[in-house]
Amino acid sequence: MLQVTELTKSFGRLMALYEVSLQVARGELVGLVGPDGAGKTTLLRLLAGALEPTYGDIEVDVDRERIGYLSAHFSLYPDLTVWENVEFFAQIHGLHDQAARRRGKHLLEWVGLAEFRNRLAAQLSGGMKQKLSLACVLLHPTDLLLLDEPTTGVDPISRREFWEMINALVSEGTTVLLSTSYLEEAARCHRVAFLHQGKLLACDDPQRLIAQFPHTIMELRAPGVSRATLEEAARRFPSLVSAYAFGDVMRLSLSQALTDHQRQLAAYVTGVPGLEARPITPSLEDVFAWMLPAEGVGS
Amino acid sequence: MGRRLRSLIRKEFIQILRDRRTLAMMIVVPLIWLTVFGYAATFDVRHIPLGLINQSTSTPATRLVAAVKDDPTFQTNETVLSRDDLTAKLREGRLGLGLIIPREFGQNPGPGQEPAQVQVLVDGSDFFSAQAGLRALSPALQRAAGERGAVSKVEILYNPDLKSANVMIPGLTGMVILFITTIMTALGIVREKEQGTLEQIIVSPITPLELILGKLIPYTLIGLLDFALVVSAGIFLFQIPFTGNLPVFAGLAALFLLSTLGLGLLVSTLAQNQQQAIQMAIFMVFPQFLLSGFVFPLNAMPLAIRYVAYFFPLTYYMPIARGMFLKSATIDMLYEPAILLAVYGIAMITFAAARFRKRLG
Amino acid sequence: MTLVQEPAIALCDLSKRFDKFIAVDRVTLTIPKGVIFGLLGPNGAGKTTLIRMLLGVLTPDSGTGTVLGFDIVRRAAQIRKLAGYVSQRFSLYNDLTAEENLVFYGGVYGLDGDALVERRDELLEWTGLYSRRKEPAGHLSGGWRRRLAFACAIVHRPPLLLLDEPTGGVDPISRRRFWKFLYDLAAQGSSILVTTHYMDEAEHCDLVGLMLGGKLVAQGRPAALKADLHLPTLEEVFVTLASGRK
Repeated sequence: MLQVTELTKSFGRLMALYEVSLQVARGELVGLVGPDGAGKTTLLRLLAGALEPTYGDIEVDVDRERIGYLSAHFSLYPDLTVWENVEFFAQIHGLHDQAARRRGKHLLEWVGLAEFRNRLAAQLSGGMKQKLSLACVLLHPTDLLLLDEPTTGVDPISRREFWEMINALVSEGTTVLLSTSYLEEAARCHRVAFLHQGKLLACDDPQRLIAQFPHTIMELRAPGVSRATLEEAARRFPSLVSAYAFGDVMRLSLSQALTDHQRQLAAYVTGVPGLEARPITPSLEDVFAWMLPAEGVGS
Repeated sequence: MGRRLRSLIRKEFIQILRDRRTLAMMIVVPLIWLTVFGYAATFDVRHIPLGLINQSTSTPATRLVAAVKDDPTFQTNETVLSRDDLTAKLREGRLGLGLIIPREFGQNPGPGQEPAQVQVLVDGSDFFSAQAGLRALSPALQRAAGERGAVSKVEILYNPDLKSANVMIPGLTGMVILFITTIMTALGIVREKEQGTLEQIIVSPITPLELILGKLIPYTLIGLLDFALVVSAGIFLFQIPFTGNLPVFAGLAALFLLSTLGLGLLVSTLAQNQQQAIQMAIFMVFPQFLLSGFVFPLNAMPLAIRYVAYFFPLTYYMPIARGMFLKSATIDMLYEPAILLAVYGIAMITFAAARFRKRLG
Repeated sequence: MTLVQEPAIALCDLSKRFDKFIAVDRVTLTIPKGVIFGLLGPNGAGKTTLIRMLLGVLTPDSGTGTVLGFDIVRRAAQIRKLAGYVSQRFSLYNDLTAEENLVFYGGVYGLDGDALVERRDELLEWTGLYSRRKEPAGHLSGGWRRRLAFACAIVHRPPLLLLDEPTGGVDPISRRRFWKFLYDLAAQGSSILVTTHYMDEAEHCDLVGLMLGGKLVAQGRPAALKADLHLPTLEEVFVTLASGRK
C-alpha cells in the first residue's frame, strides 16, 4: 500500500528527515510519535505530496486524489460557516453534484456537527474544528488518510469521539497514519513509529515495543512522605537506572528486577517507614525515554 | 518605578538596534525623502526645451534671442524649421515652450497698424514648467518690446531665490517626525500584542503608566534624532539659511512629537496586527502630507478642505518649521500655532493613553 | 502553639460573566501553600478567566478571593509583584536573546546588579539554556522556548507560580522533564497552579480541581477522586463527570 525507502528531507542545513524506511499495509493504523521537531509533520507532508523529498522514494498504491491530509493547523476558513466550508471544500475537489451535498450532510451528521451547520467556523471549540476538518477531508473518497496531531488541544470527550470515528474508518479499510503527542493514543495503533531528530528509531506493535524494554519499572509509594524523601529512598536501589516523580509516587527504572524478598525489605533498607515497592508494567513512555539519547530530551 | 521603567527602555533600545528593518526605516526614510524633496522633486525648473523661430533681424529681436539663450531656465539647442514643426514638437513633448519672432518685430508699425508681437506657445500640460518658463520669459519680452513700458521690479522676500528646497526641507522635518514616530510607536506596541509579551507585562508589576512611558521615551528620542538629522542636512547639505533659534525650534518639535506619539499609541489600540498597524498609520499620515501645506498651499484649498487640514497637527507645525528656517521667527511670532500644537498634543496623548489603559484590562 | 498557615489561594463564590456568558460560576477553592494544584477542564471551561482574576487583570463580578493573603481586587499590584505567570503562548521577546529576556524580566520584577546576574546564570544553568544564552528567543525550538518562558516566570523566586496550559502539544518525554522542574520548585516551597486538559498529566498534581462550564465540579487528591468513583484514571473521572452533566 505504502512503501517509503530512505526518505530524506532537508531544509537548508536543517535535516528534517533522514533515511526513513517504512512499509504500511492496507487498512493499517500507524501512529507517529516523537519530540518536537522529530520530523513527524515533515514525513506526513512528504507522503501527502505537499513537499518534495531531497532524496528517497515514496511508492503509494493509490491515486493522489484518494489521499486525505489533515494539517496540524486549522486550515478551514474561520469566517465561513460550517456548511459553507463543507461546500467550498467539495467544490475545490470538483464535487458539485447532489451526491456531494448528500455526502457532506451525512458527514456533518457523522461527526456530530449537523446542528451547528450555520455557525461560523471561528466559533467552534477545538474539538469541533478538528471534526469539521475531518469531515472536509473525507468529502472525497479516501483510501489513505494522513492526520497531523488531530487531537492536540482537544478535550478528552471529543478525543474519544474522534477516535471512534478513526476506528470506524480503519475497520472500513482506510489506511491511516497519524501523529500524536498522547502515548495512550499511540498505544491504540496497530504499529507505532518513533521518530527522533529526523530518524526512525523504532516502528513496531506497541506490545512488542514494551516487551523489548530491558528494565523493570518499580513504583515507590509511602503515605505521608514528601517527594524529596521518596527521591532519597530511590537512590538506595543499587540497580537504579533512572527515576521520576509522578504525583505522590516515584517511578524507578531498575536494570535488575527485585525479588519478592527484596521488595518486602524495601522499607527497612531505605529507612522510610511504610514504603511500598510494587512492580508495574512499563508504558510506551518508559520505552521511548529509554531509547532517546540522554541529552536529546526536550530539545 | 525607576528600575522597571529603565528595564523597559533598555529592552526597547535593544530591539530597535537589533531589528535591521526598524533601523533602516529610522535612517533610510529621512535620507530618501531628503533626496526626493531636496533634489529630485524640485519645483525650480531649469533647462526647459525652447524652440525658437526668429524671422526678424531687428536689434530688439537679436537682443531677445540673446537673453533667452543666456537664461539657464531654457535650453535652445533644438532646431525648429517652421511653425508646424514647432507645434508638432510641443505636442510630442520634445519642446516645452515655443517662441516665434515675426519679421516685422522691432520695426515701427505702419500707420493704423498694431506693432508686431512675439508669439509664445506653451505646453500647459506640464504645469510647473509652463509657469516657470513664462515667469522667466516675461522680463526679457518686456525689455525687448521697447523701453517705453516701465519694467516692473519684483522683489521676493524670505526665499529670494525661490528655491523649493528652502521650503520643502523645513516641512520635511515635520513629515519625518510624523511618519517615523507614528509608525514605530504603533508597531512597537502591536508587535508585543502579537507576540503575547503584552499579556505577560500586564500581569507583571509594571504599571500602565510605566508601560506607556517605556514606549514613548525611546520613540521621543528617535523622533528628535531624526529631526536633528533632517535639520542638519538642511543647513549643511542644502545650505538653507537657518535664521531662527535652534533650541526653541527643537522644543516646538517636541510639542509636535506629543501628537505624533499619541497618534501611534491610538493606532496601536485599534490594530490587531502589524500589517493593520502600518495600514492605519499610513492612512493617518497620508492626508496630512497632502493637506498640511507641506506640498500644496493651505490658502489655495477650498474652505471645507481647509477645515479638514486644521484637524491635523502637521498643519500647525508647518508654519513653525518654515518660520524658524526662513523668517527668523521668534516664539512670540509663533505662539498661536505653538499653543494649538501643545493643546492638540496633550489632548491626543491623554486620549490615546486612556484608551490604551482601558484596553489593557 | 500551632502555626496556622494562610493558604496560597483562597476563593469564595467567585464569578465572572461576559454579557450573557458565565465564564466563571461561583467558584470556591482553597489551595494550601507548597502544593501543586491542577486545574482541569476543556477549553472554554473558564480556567484562563479564573487565572486572570487571580492576577487582577479581570475584576470579578461577585465573590471574594485572596492570593498569598492579598485581596485580588484591592491588592492586585502586590500580587503581581509576587506571583509568576506562564501564559499558553510563552510570551518571550523573539528578537532578544535568551539571556536578554531573563535580564529584562528580572528588571521588571525589581532585580538589579549582581543579584540579577547571579540569578540569570543560575536559571540558565538549571534549565540547560546556558550554551544557548546568546541565541534570539525566536530561533529556539518549542521545547527550549518553553524552558525559557518558565525561567523568566520564576526569575524573582515567586512564592506562587501560575501556569496556563504549559504543556499543550508537548511530547511525553519533554513533559516528564518539565514536571521534574515543577517538583523541584514545589520542594523549595513554591505553590503552583497549573491548568491542563491532559488528564494523564493531572495525575502528577497533589490536588486537582475539575472545571466544566465555569463551575468547579470536583476537587481533591487524584487518588481520592478516582477512588470515589471507582475509576482507574482521571480521564475516566473527567469523562464520567462531564457526560453526567450533558
